[in-house]
Amino acid sequence: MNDSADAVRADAVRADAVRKVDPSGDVEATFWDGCSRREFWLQHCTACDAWQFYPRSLCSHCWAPTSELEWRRPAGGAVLESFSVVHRGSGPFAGYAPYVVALVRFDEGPIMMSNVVGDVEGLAIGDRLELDFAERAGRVVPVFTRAGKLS
Amino acid sequence: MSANQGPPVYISGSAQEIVGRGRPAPAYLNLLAAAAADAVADAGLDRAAIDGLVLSSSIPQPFERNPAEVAEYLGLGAAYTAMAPYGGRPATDVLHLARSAVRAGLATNVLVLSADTFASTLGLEGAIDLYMKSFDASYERPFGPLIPTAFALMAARHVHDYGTSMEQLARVAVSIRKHGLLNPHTEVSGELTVRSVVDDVLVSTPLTRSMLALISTGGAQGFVVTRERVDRRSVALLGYGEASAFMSLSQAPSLVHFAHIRRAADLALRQAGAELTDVDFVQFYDPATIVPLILLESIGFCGPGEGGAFVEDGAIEIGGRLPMNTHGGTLAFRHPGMGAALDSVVEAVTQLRGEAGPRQVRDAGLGLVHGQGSWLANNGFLILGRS
Ligand SMILES: [Zn+2]
Repeated sequence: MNDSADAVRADAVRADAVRKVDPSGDVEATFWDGCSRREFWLQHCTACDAWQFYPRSLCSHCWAPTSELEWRRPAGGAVLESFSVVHRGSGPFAGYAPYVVALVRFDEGPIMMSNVVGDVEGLAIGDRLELDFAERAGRVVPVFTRAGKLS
Repeated sequence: MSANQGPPVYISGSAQEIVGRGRPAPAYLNLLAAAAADAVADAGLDRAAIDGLVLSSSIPQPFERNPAEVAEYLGLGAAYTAMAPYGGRPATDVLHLARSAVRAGLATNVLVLSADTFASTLGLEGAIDLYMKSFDASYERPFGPLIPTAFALMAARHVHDYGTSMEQLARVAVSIRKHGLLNPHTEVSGELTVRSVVDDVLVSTPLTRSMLALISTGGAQGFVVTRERVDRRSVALLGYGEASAFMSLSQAPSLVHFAHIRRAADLALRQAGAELTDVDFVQFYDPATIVPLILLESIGFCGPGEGGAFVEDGAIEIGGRLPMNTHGGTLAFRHPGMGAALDSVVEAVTQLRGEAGPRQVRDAGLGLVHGQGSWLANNGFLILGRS
């Protein structure tokens, strides 16, 4: 799934890059725009040093305003909090079943819903995961693979 | 008793409109009107005595009619009207809203109505699609969770943290099915066994089809909440507590134990001046068999992780120490939509009146009814008592 062209594109933005959150911008659009370039941007609050997902226009921990939020790229490591194998996909997902829906905790703290893709034989809660991206119906979505297992 | 917040109000009328498995539901207003007439007749009141209306939004018709329109349709005349909106709310809240109106002096006898015409207006696939919209469009739906997946994620974690078994998850369905088969209006047939539930088709692991709620084509419920006790069939509304803590599962502080559930149940109990040991039966929203286990633990009927063992010996069956979902719940009676928790209220009223026939809980004096908004995100508990 990770061809070399993608690897080059992902490296185009330094991993430690920091961006201000545009107070008049749409954080949801910014997040998905990043994903379309295979970049995952997570919000970090400079006032209370907490991370948050999903992105918001304020810090949900301390209510710092947008001007005190920044976008950063998480290291990409995560832990599997829980997962379920969906056997009967509905609508656009019918063709993917069986597939894994997961709650994944970034090492930075926030939890997100995602999919675990690739080799999921023997998948277990507590497994180490790595951030990746998958393209579906023209859209790039963040997914996870088991650490050390190529998808 | 010191925390008791004022005198009780009463549920003096209670009605349930039956549609039947797979049958097309009557039109929305037809169902509402039937529930209104039946509830007022059940209360033994004249319709002229009704001076309030609280409408529960339905899922397929969230804003089809506002409550003033429904009051006008019913010819109620001058009345207080309010509506509880669709989305993330426990349906039990409408009885609290009616109680609040009575206590505030806005009305004396409040009609509470709910109707859903789910699958006959949208089709079953459309109904499922609509339910799926409960997931966040931007951060959840792109990953394909089914509604059962929300509960499956809790169940998988419960199994991991506490060693809860597939057999224990199945046992909830077996016990509640027994109750459903005692309900003449059930939409299911045939007994379940632990083996048949475990071996049923997997929908979203670890949950099988028999561990999940039915989807019904429709139904309706009606109540009359009164300031005065009408007669011995009036049931006292002694307490109500409600608390939400998240909407998306990624924001939940835990997948297996929920402090806001305890808070909501404690609020209701405190208002009623009651303890958990006073509760004779519970009617829990049961969209998946993991949910009653989590509720038993989070409310405090047993310790964290002990829910599986609690249900194993038949404790939640009629005749057991805490009968649960004596009408069959959404696992074994029906799931009409928003009104599922109001079917639980109808059953609690029936039990407290001593009118439940073969499924009657002996000496039923106090019942706890739970309503849920979106995978335990929001929970509303009613305490009802014989008057
Ligand atoms: Zn902050």
